[in-house]
Amino acid sequence: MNHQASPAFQPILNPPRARLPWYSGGWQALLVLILMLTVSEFILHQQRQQFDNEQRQELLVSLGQLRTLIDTELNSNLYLASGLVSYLRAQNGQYDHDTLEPWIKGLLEQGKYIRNIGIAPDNRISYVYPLKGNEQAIGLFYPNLASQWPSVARAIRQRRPILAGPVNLRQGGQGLIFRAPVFLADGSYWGIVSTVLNADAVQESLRQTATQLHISYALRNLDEDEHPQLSNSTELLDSEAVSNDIVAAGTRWRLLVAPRSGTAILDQRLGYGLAIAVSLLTAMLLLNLCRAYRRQTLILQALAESQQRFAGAFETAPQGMALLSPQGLLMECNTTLCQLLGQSASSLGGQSLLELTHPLDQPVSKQMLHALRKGQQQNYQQEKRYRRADGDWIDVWESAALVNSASGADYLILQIQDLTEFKRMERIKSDFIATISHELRTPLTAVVGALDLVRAGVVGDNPAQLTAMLDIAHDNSQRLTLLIDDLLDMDKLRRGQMRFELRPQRLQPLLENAITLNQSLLKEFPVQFQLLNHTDVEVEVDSQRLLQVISNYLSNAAKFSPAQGVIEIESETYPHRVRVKVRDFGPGVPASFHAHIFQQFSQADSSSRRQQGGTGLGLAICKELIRHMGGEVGFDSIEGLGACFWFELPILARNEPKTPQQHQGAAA
Amino acid sequence: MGELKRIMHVEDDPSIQAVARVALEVVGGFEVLTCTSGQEALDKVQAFAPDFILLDVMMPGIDGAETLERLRKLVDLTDIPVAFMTAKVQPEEVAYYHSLGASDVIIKPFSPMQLASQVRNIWSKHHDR
Repeated sequence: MNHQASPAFQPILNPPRARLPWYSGGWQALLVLILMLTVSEFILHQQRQQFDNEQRQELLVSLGQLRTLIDTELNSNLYLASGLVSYLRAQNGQYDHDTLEPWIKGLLEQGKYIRNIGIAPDNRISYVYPLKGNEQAIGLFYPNLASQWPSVARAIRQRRPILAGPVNLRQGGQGLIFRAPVFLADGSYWGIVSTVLNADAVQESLRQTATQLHISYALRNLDEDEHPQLSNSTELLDSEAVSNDIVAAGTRWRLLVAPRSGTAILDQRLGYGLAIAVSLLTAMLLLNLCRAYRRQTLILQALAESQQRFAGAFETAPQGMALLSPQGLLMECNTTLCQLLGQSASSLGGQSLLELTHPLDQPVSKQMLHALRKGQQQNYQQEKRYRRADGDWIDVWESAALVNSASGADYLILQIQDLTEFKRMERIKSDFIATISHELRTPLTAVVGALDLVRAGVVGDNPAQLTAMLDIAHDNSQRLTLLIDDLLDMDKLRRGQMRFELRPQRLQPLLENAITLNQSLLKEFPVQFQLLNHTDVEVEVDSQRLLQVISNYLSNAAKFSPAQGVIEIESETYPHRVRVKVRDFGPGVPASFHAHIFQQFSQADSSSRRQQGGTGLGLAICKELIRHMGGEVGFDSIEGLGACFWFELPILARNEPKTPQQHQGAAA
Repeated sequence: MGELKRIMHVEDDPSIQAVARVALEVVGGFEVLTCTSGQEALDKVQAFAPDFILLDVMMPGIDGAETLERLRKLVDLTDIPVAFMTAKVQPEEVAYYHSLGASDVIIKPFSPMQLASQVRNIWSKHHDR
């Protein structure tokens, strides 16, 4: 009866939920974003500078290469013109076209870029090779050519050749014009040898090289006011460029080179984009991290609060409470339990529950702990005794439940209710009942005795009317005696003080005996007992107690049977138990009363008590008596059709019906 | 062995004294000496020389068990059966009274009409041993 299910233990823990405001963690992230952008700007700046330096080095190298190319390309072509100047000087300015022509033709075939060579004695062009396409030039007088004369005049004045241009040629395309003044041996000026180079071809050669070097370039003529130039870029900026002033073919040039436009800027933009992206990403990560951390903190806080609440409830609970390892060792005990056992929490920790348990209660405790561990049941209750530190035993009501923790480490939670006061009250009640019963019994003995003597005529004859009154007095004093007996029986049963002398015996003689003993009922109630069948089973019972139960059933049935009614006694045999039924055909048990009929002081109503007599303890006593003999009681009833009360007992053995004599002695 | 004639009844309750006296004298035809306490019984036992002693267990002053002990010192109880009268009928209590030397236990409430025959039975059993 100690195994009723109790509501499962529920901890006070509520799973905490953390809600953060949207801005939580924002300022840290912003700070990091700004910091990262600053740092990346700094790094990029450094890198740009380094890159610029490297690029500058590269550009200087490229510049050198281009310069060499220019020197080579121009000089290789112009030394041809120098040769012609030397020839003219050697001939003292005398030449004829026919001797000159094959020679110049040879020169032209060697010089890659030479478009034509012209000779202008006294500044008037008298010969051009090849003549084809250049016919217009014949006869031109330089001082009349406003666009060309300044550079021609300069060459004459400075007595050295000058390369002019690039200029747009009348024949189309661009040209570089190498003008070499010819001075005769006597130092007198003779004329000009003019060589027109194909500037587009030079340009093409430079462009190829520049493309390979990934640079832009510009070659500016510094000797001319407009600074005409050859360039592969329309927007070459001086600021980006590396420049070098050189002298080639007698002219000052400025050579500028710069990295091919766009690549550096692209790199830089890519760098900035990357830096911003990484910064943003980091800031977002940090934001998330911050928020996650805050959330975690809030959860932990809530958890800690929840744990504190639970620990507080555990610690200050008015009952004893303990946490127990699955092996049955005390892990934690609250104050109440410590007070109960008269020990400190530290001395209790690690002690085995079984060690604290009374030896007589240990087997049950052991079995229940085992069942909990195996998961066969979730909780149990047991009335038991604990040993106090001073060696005394205290009565407690122990409830235990298995708690499956999330981490998988199971433990048991124990609630211990001190029953000392309850037991004391029980004892007082019991003593009270015993005393009252005894004190009632003594005068009752005198009353019943006196009445018996008077009714028996021992002290003289009684008139008829007196006899009737005496009978009433006698019947009621009998009822009082029964009530006191029942009270004492119930009290003894509850205290476990009633002794049972259990003996194996046949059931049939007990039933017959009960019917015989209750024949007196038939005088009072006009009913009939019918034993419907014969049973051959053997049961282990205290025959007096079993007779008490059957008598109770029979007397109840008799009381509630209609006049001339039949009361049937029947036994039913099942594989391991036998059921004895006592059936009447009275009003039956009201449905509202079914749940209480086997409880103490329960009768359908107080009027039935008055009408039928009885104490209201009979069935409760029957239930306890049968329970003590290993059986159970019950009833079936349909209101208006009668009631069938039964008890069941375990079958000890089944006898052959042929040899009933063997056991008759024991059954009597 | 003589005849059962004189019965000493030790009982503190006057009503029960009266009932028992009628039951034993009128129904049973015995000579009854009623003592109200254990002390009175001790005082009168030798003078009365009972054939049978009925002892209430619970009495103020000297209780039934004590009275029996002291009676034993005053008279030879070999041939005088002593029966306790008590409401307590636990088997171990009955055994306890027997161990004190009681011949039997008469359960209260007793039936006055049967008390005399109960006493007679006990007396016979005691002397049949």
